[in-house]
Amino acid sequence: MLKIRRRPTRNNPVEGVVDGLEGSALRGWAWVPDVPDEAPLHVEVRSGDRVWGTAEAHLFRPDLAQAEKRGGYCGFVATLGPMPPAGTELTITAVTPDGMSHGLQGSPLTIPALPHGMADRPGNTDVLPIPISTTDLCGSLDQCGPARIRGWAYWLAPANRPLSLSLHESGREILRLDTNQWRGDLAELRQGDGCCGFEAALPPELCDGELHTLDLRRSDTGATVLARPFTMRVLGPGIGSAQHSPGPAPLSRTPVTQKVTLSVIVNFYNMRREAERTLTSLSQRYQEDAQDFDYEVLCIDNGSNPPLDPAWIASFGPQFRLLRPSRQLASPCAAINEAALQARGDYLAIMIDGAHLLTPGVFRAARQTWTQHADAVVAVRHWFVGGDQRWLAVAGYSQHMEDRLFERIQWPNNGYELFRISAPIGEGPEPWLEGLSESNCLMLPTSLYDRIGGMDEAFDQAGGGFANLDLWHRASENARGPLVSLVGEASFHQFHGGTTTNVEDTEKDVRVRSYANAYRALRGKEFNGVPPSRLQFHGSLRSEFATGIRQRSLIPLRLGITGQIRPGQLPVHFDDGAQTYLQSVYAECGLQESVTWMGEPAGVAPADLMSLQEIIHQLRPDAIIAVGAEAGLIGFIDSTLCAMRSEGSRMLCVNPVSLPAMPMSRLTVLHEQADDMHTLATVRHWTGSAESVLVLYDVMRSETLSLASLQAYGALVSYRSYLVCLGTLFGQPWLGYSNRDPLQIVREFARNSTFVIDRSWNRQLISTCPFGYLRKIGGTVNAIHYDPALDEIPSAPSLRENA
Amino acid sequence: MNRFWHRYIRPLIDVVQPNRLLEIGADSGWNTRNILEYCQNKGAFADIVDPAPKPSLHDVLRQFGTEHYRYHPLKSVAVIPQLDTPDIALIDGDHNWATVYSELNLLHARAEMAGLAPPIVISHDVAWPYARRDMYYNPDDLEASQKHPYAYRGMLPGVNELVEQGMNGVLANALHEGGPRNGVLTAIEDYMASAGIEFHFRKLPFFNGLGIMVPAARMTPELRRLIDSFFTAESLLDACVAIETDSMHLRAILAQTETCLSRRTQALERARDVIETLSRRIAELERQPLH
Repeated sequence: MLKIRRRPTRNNPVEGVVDGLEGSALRGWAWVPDVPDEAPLHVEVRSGDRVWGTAEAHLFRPDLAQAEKRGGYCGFVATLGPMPPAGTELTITAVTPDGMSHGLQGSPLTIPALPHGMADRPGNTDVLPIPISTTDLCGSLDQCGPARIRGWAYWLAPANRPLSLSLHESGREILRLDTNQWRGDLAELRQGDGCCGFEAALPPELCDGELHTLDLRRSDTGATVLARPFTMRVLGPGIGSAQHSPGPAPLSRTPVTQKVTLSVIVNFYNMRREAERTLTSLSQRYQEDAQDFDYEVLCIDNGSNPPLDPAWIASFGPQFRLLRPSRQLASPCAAINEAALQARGDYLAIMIDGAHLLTPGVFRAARQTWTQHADAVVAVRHWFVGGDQRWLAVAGYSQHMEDRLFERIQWPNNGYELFRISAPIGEGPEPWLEGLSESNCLMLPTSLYDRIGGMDEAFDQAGGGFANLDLWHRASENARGPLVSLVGEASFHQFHGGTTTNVEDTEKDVRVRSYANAYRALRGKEFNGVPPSRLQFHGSLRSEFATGIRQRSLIPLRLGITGQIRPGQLPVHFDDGAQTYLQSVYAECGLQESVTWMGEPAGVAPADLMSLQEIIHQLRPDAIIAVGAEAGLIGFIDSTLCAMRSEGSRMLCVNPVSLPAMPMSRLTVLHEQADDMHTLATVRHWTGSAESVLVLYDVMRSETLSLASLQAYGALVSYRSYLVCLGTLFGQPWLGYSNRDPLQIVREFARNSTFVIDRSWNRQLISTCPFGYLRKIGGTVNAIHYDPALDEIPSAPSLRENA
Repeated sequence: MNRFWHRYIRPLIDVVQPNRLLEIGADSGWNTRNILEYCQNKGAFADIVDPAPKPSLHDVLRQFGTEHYRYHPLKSVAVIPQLDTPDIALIDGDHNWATVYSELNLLHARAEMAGLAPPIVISHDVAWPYARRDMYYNPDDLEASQKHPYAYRGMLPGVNELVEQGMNGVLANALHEGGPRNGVLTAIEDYMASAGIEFHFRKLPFFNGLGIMVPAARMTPELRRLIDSFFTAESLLDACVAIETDSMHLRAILAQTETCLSRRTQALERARDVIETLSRRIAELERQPLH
């Protein structure tokens, strides 16, 4: 008979839970909190003397990592074989190295009787992620469907050999997966070296909506790496519901005799002003090298009031003619298809929004592309005249002001001057090289347009919703040639009352989301743009202003529109990569070394001084312990406390290096190594019964920084106060080369403590302590858990006796 | 959310008679117990989702057969696309716009795939403090563009900025209240505005707020009558009594805390006297000549 202890007690060191039984897999977790570095626990599943399954509690699970259970490495999956009969009561125990068995929470567990037909329920598929675990492998199968399979796995012991997995169904290998992709999230979680991800497209045979039982195995030995096979039902495109359509039916065209190379179809609705510039930009006198180019421009007037004049349209050249659609609909899709069927070109250029005008080399670049690849699809990126038109609209920008911008560049004399007065859509750092969701001048073979059914008229929202994005997406999926994104040529959106471009952010937000939902309802999947890896980039930069918004100041012209400042979005304008780069430059140049307070070096960035001042102001600490801090920083803190008239606050400076004499009555200096046992005892004694304790720890200058040292000083920090790790910033060359990595120790400390990394103090961009502000948020005591025994203060005589 | 069970959630479930339920954010399992009791009695099934529950959830789960539930120790946005569409979803997970908006859209998309109407959604925290302010259990889980500037500081009613002495200061709260893409209620409103189908939405504005969102396709006259009955004078009077009772309990806890604080203060004062006495005695001894 086993001796079972259900809950961790003083004599039962095991903490663990049985999560439940899924099929024949019994899942849970177990560890010994007091000895976290001990070998993984052995788990046994028994009924009476019979052992139904065993497992080692060493599997990694992100939820356990988050809950600070053995760094996440204490999950287990015990496969029961054979499956015990229904009604069997299973006892699940963890065995400690001393041979003692300890019952886990959730044990005993009774094998349920499955209701009739339960095993065949449509929803009875496995929910991922599923752990990958063998004696020498660790990993996770994170995703299987709708289009891709994804996960990670690596050798537990260092091994200089690749790891390849294979997906099997009914014993047959259907997909091979190399686990060699680098993933930032894995590197962050320290799964191997981060180069252990795998991802591949699922074979179409699995995407049939049927239930599949699959197994993941090692390719070299064929050994399974999962606790048991898993079942999945993968719905491929168009499967799952009859209401989801992959796209419209192909268009049927009457052959024409007088063919041209290109038919431009441009759609107008109540934009006479914008149409003039757009049509000018499509004219033979504006487009370079277009004198011998055979093309036509079909101008749709989709119900404008007043209507566009055909004579005015024709005045732009013999290529131009006006079309009025046979049906007046809010969505322009049907009108564009109707125009497309009248087009004579071998290629079509679809411009769904007639407010876009072009640079002068668009036709030439497209022709050059088609000379090399006749089946190429050519996409032109779009910019905004004037910059962020949504904000400008709110600020008071007007069409009249936009006209002044055009006058300023003397448009159309040099069409590339448009880049001077415009900004690319989005605020990314590489406007020409990013993925593409949409083009407002999409040029494609007419045969392709017909084959994919042209614009999908099911997009019936005003303006067409995601119809244009959908056209680009379907063209990219069905193209027989390359997808070419032009560089240095663009379309430029003029300011008008468009459906999404000239409305306030909040309204646009709602409208775009409704378009996205309509797309999903129609296609049965979320819309995804075309990633840069699928694009070819053709062209050259004809204007120095075309390089991107960060390399220049926009619009060298004062329009005097507003006194407002555009509300910025830091992650959009200045992403993590940009901040890391900026901070790296700061650290490599050692600029923090020149930050001084009253002539003494402070050793941190000015923004950190302000952050520390604010923290001290908020906390009003009784005791501040500064480990390894520079003299200037000590002086700064003293000045802050003086300014707050915080006479009672004390400060302890622990530094093995002698600092300049600092005549401060509140300061005690300890010239010792911070992690020395006697030093720690002295610091604890000095801290005494201070209620609000703040610790500053210079982790960069500390020669002896360790996890234990941070834990010791962290224990002194009071609830809701901070342990500020100074100097966590390092320069770019340090990455991977340095033998010191304080940030890694800081993160490890934070993962296994009552502290959180409070990144809100790093918003001033340049900090020498990124990820270094650790706030203590755990360890609260409430009235219910109050220990009145702590109120029993020994009297003076008894203290004397103890002494 | 547990405080809404008997008076509001249970009647809703009784009228709707769901075959499948989804609970996002089980925490201690108080509400989970109620849900699983219903499942056990009616033969229904529940998906319970919580990546970091309190240990007591497992005590609750083990009291019920696994034929009635499946527990997913994962984030909701990872799990929802893999689950069958529930008839009712109870949402009390990560209280921020990005997460709630994603949850609602994922539920919607999943229902669409199955040719079903989206589920009835009962969501907590649609009143102060998180109706119009984001909170992030783990800010690093979200992309930078999905979160507002935040701090581990507390909140006070009617105060836009965070304050050190406010409520929930141990959580990462958005620095400011209101504005676009901020808060649970905003997420629900934005979802309804863009979903392209009709909803009936009502909000009980106490106990942090309970939102009841019913797609028109799932509304019945009986369900409408029930929801309307939550807002009659008599029902709201009952709610006042419940709020008052809750307030009295809180006052009792406050009194208990004040007692503890008073005792601790008195103890510290005694300790200070002890220390001063000993200090004087040490000083006297140090003044005495050594023999």
